[in-house]
Amino acid sequence: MKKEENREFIKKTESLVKPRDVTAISFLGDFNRMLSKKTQHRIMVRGSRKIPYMGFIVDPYCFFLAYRITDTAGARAMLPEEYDLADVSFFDGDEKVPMVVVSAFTARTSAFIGTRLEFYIIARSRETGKISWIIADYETDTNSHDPKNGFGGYTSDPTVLTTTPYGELLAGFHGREGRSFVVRAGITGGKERKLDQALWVEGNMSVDYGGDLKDETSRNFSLIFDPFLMEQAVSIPVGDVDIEANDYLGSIIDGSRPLTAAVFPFSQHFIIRQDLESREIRDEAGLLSQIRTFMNRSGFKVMAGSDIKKPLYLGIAVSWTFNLALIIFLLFKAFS
Amino acid sequence: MRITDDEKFIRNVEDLIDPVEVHNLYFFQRFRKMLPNSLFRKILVKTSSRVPYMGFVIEPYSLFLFFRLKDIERAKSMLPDRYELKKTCIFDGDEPQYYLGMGNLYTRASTFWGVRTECYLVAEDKETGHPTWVFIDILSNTIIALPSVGIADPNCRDAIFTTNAKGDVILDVGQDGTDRRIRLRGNIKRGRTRKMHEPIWLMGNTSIAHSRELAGNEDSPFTVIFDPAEVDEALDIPVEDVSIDVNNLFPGFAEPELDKVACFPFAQHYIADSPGLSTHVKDRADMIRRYNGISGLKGMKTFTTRNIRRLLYIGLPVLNTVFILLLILYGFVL
Repeated sequence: MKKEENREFIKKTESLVKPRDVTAISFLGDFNRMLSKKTQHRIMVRGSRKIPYMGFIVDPYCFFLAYRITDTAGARAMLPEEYDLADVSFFDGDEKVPMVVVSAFTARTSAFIGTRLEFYIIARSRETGKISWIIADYETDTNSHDPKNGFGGYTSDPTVLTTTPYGELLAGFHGREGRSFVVRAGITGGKERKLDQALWVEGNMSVDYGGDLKDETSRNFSLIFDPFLMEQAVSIPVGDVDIEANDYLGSIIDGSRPLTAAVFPFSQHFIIRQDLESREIRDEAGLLSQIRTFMNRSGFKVMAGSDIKKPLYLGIAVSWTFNLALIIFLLFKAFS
Repeated sequence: MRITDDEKFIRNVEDLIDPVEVHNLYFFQRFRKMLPNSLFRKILVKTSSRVPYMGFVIEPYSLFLFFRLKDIERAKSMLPDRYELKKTCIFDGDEPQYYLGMGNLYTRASTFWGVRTECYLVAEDKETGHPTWVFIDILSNTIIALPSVGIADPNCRDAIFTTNAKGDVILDVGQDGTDRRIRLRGNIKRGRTRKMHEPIWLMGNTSIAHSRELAGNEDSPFTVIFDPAEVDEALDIPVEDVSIDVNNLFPGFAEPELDKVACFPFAQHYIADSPGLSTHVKDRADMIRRYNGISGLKGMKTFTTRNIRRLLYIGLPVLNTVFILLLILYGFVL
């Protein structure tokens, strides 16, 4: 993508993420949790058909750790059936190994704003032969949705993901089940390196759920982005990463011994096309074609707080009117 | 005096910011219009007395633009009597000037979350002698705290402030219902790390005030408490690397060309006074003493909408119960 096109893509993606809408969606979306999982799934499917695009912006300094999988049979068992483990590396030219990736990031999206910690098993689709990121576990301090658990609230409290003036990154997640991920990393000693395109470009075109999040309703989805985003990242020496706790996926990795660390110092802009068929984007050309479609499309419906607020206000108004009418009617009856 | 534990302070600031509470507050804030301003301010002050601290994080790459002032008399007239317009330099060793500053920030706080374009003059507080940032305008796509009204609605639906993988910054903030806008593109990769001018960046942040128009009757400054290292250095961005497409926020007030551009590449963590409260920080040592005090606090209280939610959750069933009782009563009357 050319520089100007990239800027316009960014602006249009940002226009899909407005605090006043996100906060209303987040607040009122809480009520969705009271519904059955089947109804939640129906809401998601219907919403996806009506609202084609969701903006997904990852804030600066999102942090990645790679772990070599120590129990490949155990990791394989966590994957959905159509996937097998894949050997990959973060950076171009590094040794490729079966890998778990941990990502800590703050995201602003059309539906939520907050911090997430995600654990992926890197796999290869048997059908397409392409790399896929399989989300096997996560923590968050904001509202969320996954196919297994439906709509959910925060899972981690307290949560910290930030940088300091001393050039450090601090990450601290404390899950409800007593698990923690606490890391401190110096990020000024890193150097920019070329990323392995198979993992970062191809892999982000195919994201799915596995492990405890595996569910029959799960649908492989693609992130849509300028491939330049994944050209390079800052490689952080693992010696600069101090892992105080990592209690996740302990059966398939050694949480205290990461293989590689990386940080993306700038914002990353993605869109998710919700009405796209699984695996419709097959390569970089498909990615760019989707971006062009997004840029040329106008007048499509976006996620808006008013969509949820209007029925709520209407419900309250109807309820009040009904009650008032009943009171007037009863008074009239009593005195007539 | 030295900072004892910066990590504890940062974690305390972050603990004061709960995205779910911000979502809730944002939603309930819309019902504020049903209350008179004076009553709302009273509620706000009462809440502030219970929750004196607000966590405030400025996300990486905050961008500060400085234009030399042209209309000095107008600038002076915007300041409350307590303040006097003052020349300052931005980086250490530069020549002081009268400036119109524009801080462009992506912020997370206990009560709001979003983009802010803050416009300031630099003045001296005649009562304390401290250099002071005086807000003369705030454009934002999130809730705005203002002494004159307490909490104001967002005034910009269009507000973009972001970076991309090429090291570009993109800013586009336009005020709703007007043609007022600032739009620029820049690149920060050639920025050079330089020492900031301590008086304005350190002590100035302990004394933040509002213009006559925004202050209402409240001219006391508020304070933010932070590690002085947060503002010790920043990137000095060559002005030719920033291209302003539109800037009509204050026509004729300052030179249209940029004089200085500063960018803070990392997140900055502050504890701010809650609305209506005012802490006085005497000097750098006093700042560090207060900082260390906050670092050592455990279980700090933050803003919560719990009481409002309780009212909502109790109110709805009560309403329905009344309705059912009326129906039953009607049955008896018949």
